[in-house]
Parts: sequence; C-alpha cells; structure tokens
Amino acid sequence: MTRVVNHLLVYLILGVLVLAPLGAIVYEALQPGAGHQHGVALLQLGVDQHFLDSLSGTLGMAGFAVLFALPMGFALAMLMYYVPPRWTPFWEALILIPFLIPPYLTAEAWSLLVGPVGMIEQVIGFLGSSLEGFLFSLAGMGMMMALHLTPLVYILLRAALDNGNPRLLQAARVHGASALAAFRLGILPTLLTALAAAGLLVFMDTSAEFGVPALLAGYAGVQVLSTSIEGATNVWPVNLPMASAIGLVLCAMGVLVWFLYRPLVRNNEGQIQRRAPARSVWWSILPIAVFVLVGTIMPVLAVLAISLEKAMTAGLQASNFTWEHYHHIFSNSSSGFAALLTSLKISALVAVFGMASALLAANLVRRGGRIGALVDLLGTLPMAVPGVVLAVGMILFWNAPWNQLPVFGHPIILAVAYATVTFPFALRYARTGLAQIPPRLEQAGRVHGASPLRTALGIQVPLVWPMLVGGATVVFALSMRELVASLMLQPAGMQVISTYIYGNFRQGVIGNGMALSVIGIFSSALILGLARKALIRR
Amino acid sequence: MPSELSEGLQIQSLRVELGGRAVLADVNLCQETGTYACLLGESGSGKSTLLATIAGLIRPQQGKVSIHGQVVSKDKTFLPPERREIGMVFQDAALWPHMSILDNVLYPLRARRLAVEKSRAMALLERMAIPTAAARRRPHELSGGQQQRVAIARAIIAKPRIVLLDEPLSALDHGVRENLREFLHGLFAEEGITALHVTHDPGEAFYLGRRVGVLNGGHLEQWDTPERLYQQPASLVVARLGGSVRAIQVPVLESRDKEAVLQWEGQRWTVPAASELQSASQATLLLRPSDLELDEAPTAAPEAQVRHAHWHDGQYLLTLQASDGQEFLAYSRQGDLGPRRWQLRRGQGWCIPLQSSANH
Repeated sequence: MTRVVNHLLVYLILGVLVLAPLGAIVYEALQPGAGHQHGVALLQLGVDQHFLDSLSGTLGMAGFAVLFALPMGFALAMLMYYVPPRWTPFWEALILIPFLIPPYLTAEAWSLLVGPVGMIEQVIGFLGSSLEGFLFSLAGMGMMMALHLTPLVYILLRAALDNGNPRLLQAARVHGASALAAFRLGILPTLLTALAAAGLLVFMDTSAEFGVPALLAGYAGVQVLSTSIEGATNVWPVNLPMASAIGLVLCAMGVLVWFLYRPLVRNNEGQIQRRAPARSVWWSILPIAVFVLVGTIMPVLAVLAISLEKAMTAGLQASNFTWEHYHHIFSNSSSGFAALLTSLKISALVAVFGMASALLAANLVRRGGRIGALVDLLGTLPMAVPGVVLAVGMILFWNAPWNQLPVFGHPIILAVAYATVTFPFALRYARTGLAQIPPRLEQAGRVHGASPLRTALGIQVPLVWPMLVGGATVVFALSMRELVASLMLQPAGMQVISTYIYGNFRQGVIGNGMALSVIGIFSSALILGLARKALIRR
Repeated sequence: MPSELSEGLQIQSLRVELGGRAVLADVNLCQETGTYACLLGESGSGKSTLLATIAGLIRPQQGKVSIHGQVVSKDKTFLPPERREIGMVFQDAALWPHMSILDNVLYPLRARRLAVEKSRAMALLERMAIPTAAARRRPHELSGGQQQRVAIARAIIAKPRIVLLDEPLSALDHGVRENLREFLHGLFAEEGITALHVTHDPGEAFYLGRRVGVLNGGHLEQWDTPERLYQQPASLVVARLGGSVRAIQVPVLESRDKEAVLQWEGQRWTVPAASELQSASQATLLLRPSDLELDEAPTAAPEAQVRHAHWHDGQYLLTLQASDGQEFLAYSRQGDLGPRRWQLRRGQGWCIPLQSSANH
C-alpha cells in the first residue's frame, strides 16, 4: 500500500513538474498554422533570419564560455592538486564562490566595473575603457558565463584527479616511464573524460542562460535563443507557437548535450576527496589569486560599493557614501523588501516540499528497474531543459483555457517553477543520501517488526537527514536567484528578489538593486546557517 | 519425521530468480523447533539469498516457506518481513547509528507494539556482557564484537519464532569470533531459540549446527548432521567444505547396499558407498588424509610417489601420486620424498557417483 502511494505521488509530481510543461511546448510547437499544416512554426524557423542569428549567437556564446572556462578550470585543478598554495581550504572556497553568485549579478557587476566612468577607471585610471568593448561582445558574454562556471569545471577535474589510482602512475614510473609519459598513461585518460564532461556542462548551462545575454546582448549587438523566446512571449505581438518552436530547438540542444554528458560523469560524482596534502609552494597563489580577483573579489566589491554610493559617477570618496539604498529597501512600503520576503517564503516552501518529493523519487530510483530508470530520467531532465523553455511550457500548461486550476497568476506558479528547475539537484542530494545508507539498516527495521512507513520515518529519514538539509539549502539558494522563470511567470504586481534587481538595473536604479543583492545574500546566508544549525544535530 | 508443530522452519521446492537468473533452485529443508542449524556455502552460493527469502526481504518465484507451521510464503501468500515474527543478525551488525544502544535493542518491541520493558533489555545487555553505562551510547562507540552482541540482543528480545544469522561472525577478529561463537552456542541452547546461521566457515558450522546444510550454485546439496556431512558427503563440493579431500576416478567392480568394490592400483578395495551409486561402472572415491595408512602399510601394498610433504598438526601431510597419475593425501611420521607403500584403512573412504571435477 505504502509502495503504491509512493509510486502515485512520484508520478504526479514528475507529471506536473516536468511532463506537463514539456508536453505543452511540443503540442504548441506542432499546432497547425493558418494553412492547417502541423509544425508550421518549426518549419518557419529554417527561413527566419532572426532565429538563425539567435542560434549562431547562442552557439558562439556557449563556445566562448567553453573556450575560457576549460583552461581556467584545468589550470586551477592542476595547481590545487599538484602544487597547492598554503591554506588550501581557504583558496578552494574562494575558487568556488563565483558559482554561488548568480551570473546576471556577475554581469551587472562587471558592467559597472568597465567603461570610461566604471570603477576600474575610477580607481586605477586605465584599462576600464578597453575592457568595455570586450565585455559587451559575444566573447565577453562567454567570459561572464565562464567565470560563473569555472568552479564546476574545477570540481569535475579535481574529482577526476582525486579519484585516479595513484598506483597506475607509480606502476608506469617503476616500469620505466618518464614523469610526463606516466602522466599521459595514468592520469590523462580520466582527465580527458572529465574535461569533455565539463565542456559539455559549460556548453549546456551557457546555451540555456538568460540573465547574462539579457543584460549584455543588446549592447553587444547579438541575439541568443533564450532572449528570443522571452521576447516572443513578452513583447507584442506575442507569438507562442514561435516561442515554443525556438524552445523546442533549445531544448533539443540541451537534451542532446545532456545525453552525451551523462555517461561521462557516471563515475564522477564531483566529490573532492581529502588526501595527504602535496608540498605547498608560494607561486601557485598568483594565478589562483588572479581568478579569485576577477571572479569573486572585484564583482563583490563592485556590488558592495555601488550599494553604498550616492552617485556612481562621483566615485569612491567619503562624500559619496550613503546608507540611503538600504534605508529605502527597509522602508515600510518598499517593493524591494516585499520582493525579498516573497522570495524567502517561496524558496523555503520549495526547499521543504522539493526535498520531500525528491526523497520519494529517490526511493523509486534506488529500487532500480525500468521504473527507477524512468523516474531518474524525468527527475534529472530539467537540467537539460533551459529555464526559459520550462517557463514557456508552464505558461502554456497552466494558462490553457481548459486548465481551471488557479495556479497561473498566483504566487504558487513560482513555487512550481522553482521546484521544477531545482528538482535535479534535490534528487541528486536525496539519492546520495540514500546511497550512504546500507540497505541492511532498513531491512533490519522491517525484519524486526516495523512497517514500510515506520521504517521510512524512523530509520531512513533520520539517517539521510544531513543530506536532506544540505539539499534543501541548495534548493533554497537556487530558488532565491532564479531569474528567467520568475520574470515570465510572476503575477502582476508582484516581484521576487531576482526580478527586482534585474528590473532596477534595466531601469538604471542601480543602487537599490545592489543593496537588495547584498541584503539577499546576507539574509539567505543567515537563514541557511541558522536552519542548518537547528536542523542538523551533532 | 518431525510433526508439523515441531517444525521451526520448513522450506519446500523454493526457487528464487534475481535479474532473470536462478539464484536458488528446488531448495527443500526442514528444521526442528529450538534447534540451531547452519548453512554453509561459498560466496555466491545463494545462502544469504535463502536467508533474505525466509525473512521476507525477497519474494520467491516458487515454493513454500513455513515458520512454526504458519505459511509465510506460497503462491499469492506473502507475509511482509514485519509480520513474520523473526529476528535477524546481519554481518555488520546493522545497528541504527542514530539510536542509542538501548533504543536499538528496544526497537523490535516498539515496532511490534509490545510492552517496552527496559529492565528486560538492560538484563539482556548485561547478559551480552555490555556494560550498563554503554546502554545510552551510540553503536559506533562499541567494539565490533560488542556491536554484534547488541545485534543479537535486538534479534531475540521480542521472542521471535526464528532468528536468522547472516554471517554474523565473519567481520570479526579471530579471537573475538571464537569467543562469540561459544557465547552463541550457550545462549541459543539455553533459550531454546530456533536459529538458522549462514556462514562460509566449516569450523563455525560444525561447531554450532545440530544440522548443517551445504548450498552450491543455488542447490542445497546436503542437509544433514555434521558427522554425516563429513563422513558421507553427497558430493565433492560438500566433501571439500568438510576439510582436505582428494577425488579419485575409479572403476566399480560391484556395488552392494552401502558398499562398493573398486579396482585401483592393482588391488580390490571395499569402501562405504552412497546408495545412488547403484550399478555404475565408474565412481568417484573421496579420500581424506586420515583414510590412508602409510607407516604400517604391508610390503604387498601398492606403491605411490611422495611429491610433496609439509609439517602439519604434529605430523607430515604428504601429497602422493599413484601410478595412474592421480593424487591423494595422507599423514605420516616421515616426510621423505620418493616411493612409499600405502593402504586404505578398513571402512574408510567414501564412494559417490562419478563427479566431473579437477583433482584438487
């Protein structure tokens, strides 16, 4: 009975979160046109110059991101593995931070740093202007994504290096291979697989990105698919079949890359093992520090500085200092504060229900078989489907004339969207948690008289609790920064933190947006820290 | 034949398939209430699968399982594990790390909604030589042997109809294992608990089991007393699990009830034989080192070449090669290589139908 309920709940959750929006997209893209021909919108893409430009823009941006992120991630992984600097954990934390900063915020920060009146020019008097041309170009957009995704490349390569068998290297050296030949024989094969996986991941994430191109592509004079989809749904005349057709192409690209990516990371969970530290050297700090400066310190300082300045152009001086933006956010009728509260509430809701659903699904995946494989496939599919496509699918599904459920136009639609986007991450945490429990512990519960429900609540949940809390933390953080689905689905008169920051930036009210960024980061960190402390017992 | 009520465990025609492959096939056994039995087998023989099937953790494709006369698995009938009233001890103790030692022991009472008698649990822990102060500790604070004792206490506290033990001693050090083996023997005999213990260690099985079964490739090769398992093994596999043995292929001159007359190395030998031998012309003669006499062999006895000798248990264990090239083992006071005369002791050796297997 319990098993049947588990199955039904998982099918319902995955059906609503994943299948419904994707089904709606496919249905809409294949709708008959005026000439009663099916799939007209799709066919028209072949001769649509705007689409072809967008496609080449997306491929170019993703290509540049791969081109920049792989060498940076590779260099960082090799340095940290073979010649780590002193205080390795500290530097590792700094390397990973850019991934925690939403890419649109990094792009906003860098657009404030460059230019003739940008902060770089204000502080050092040169370089800012010449960097402006680079930032507002296809390569610059690729670089912004590369800064955001280099930590992922680093994690995958470090895991490959750590999981490699040092005996292979030793065996090669003992049997006459030089250090280089031994590296080529013992390390390079696993490293190449990880590099390929990392390249695909960067390509997939970049081609799905909305925020960075939305901020930079206009100035760079390029178009990409994600912004074209958003435009087709938001800008008059709204063309949903066109949005669906472009979405289907973007989705197909993501799924194709994802299917290439999955087998490559089968044995690479991205877990960095702790090993006996290699001898530290001082000079490896230099290249690592350059990345940390560009990826973390400069954007964070820019956000912080702008949030405390009266006028950007006046520069960094005492007379230009103000708390005004923070006062504004915390004032009674501030829409920024309302956006923050809304984001916190919805993200917390998604974190709790997302992890509970993921645990149910993970139980089915663990049992294996065809159903397990299908649930795994559906549960991780949103990783391959760009947020903008999911958002269009949700508009089509929840706003369909036959759908009488009052979800569209209600804040709950954002929770549904966030739950879909974050489900693969939640599922991964739940699966890892379950994998850490020896099946015997649950079998012991059943054999000694506990029902399946009692075993789940009394044995499984307490044992996976730290992973559930960890997963909920990630889901919460990802929900707090989600931009594109929020932009497209937020009900009229309502904003969340990401749309507030984005909207203010687009309208030139930058200080308030930056202040809310700082408040959002600190309040999330505080809430998550307190929640973890309260929920995870030693 | 034991009556229905005295059957602690009965298994009939059991078949289990996992991933489309038969892991257990046509397994039959009957264990009396209150006895301790062991299942012996190599890795992958299906012994843990059999235990999991009895526990209700695996649903069999075919066959019947009864515990204390109640059918728990047959055709559509399948009682879930929690309703079988059993206890189980796992190889790695499988204590719940988030619960105290006491809560681990009390769990079966709570799960079955029985009276939670803490004093009884404490008394049981005391009997298991677990210090009272340790009852509030977490499992990882105990040694491996202590954890296994707690797991035994958990398995028996709710007075189960049968306790299943899945290689409970194999993860422990030699000394702890011997100690716990003696403890198990005493405890289960005193309490009169029916127990089925799975192991790959013949010494453990022969020490603990009133009956011992040998599983090989999913088949129960023999279910018997330890004595018969050693002296009259049903197959070469069973014989090997009982200790050092060599299998010799020999022609059968005559087979009578429980005896066979064999021709080997120019001599006629009368040896005990399995009834399945019947009118076979060839048979497998199973020889253990103690079945042969070397030091007192008469001069008319056949000769074999000593190929290897090593000191073993106070005498030499010799590897001899007969004139037809077949090898066998024997004990002797002398360890010289070269020719030696030998003879088969009266009533020793065991003849079974021809087994196709290498002579090792």
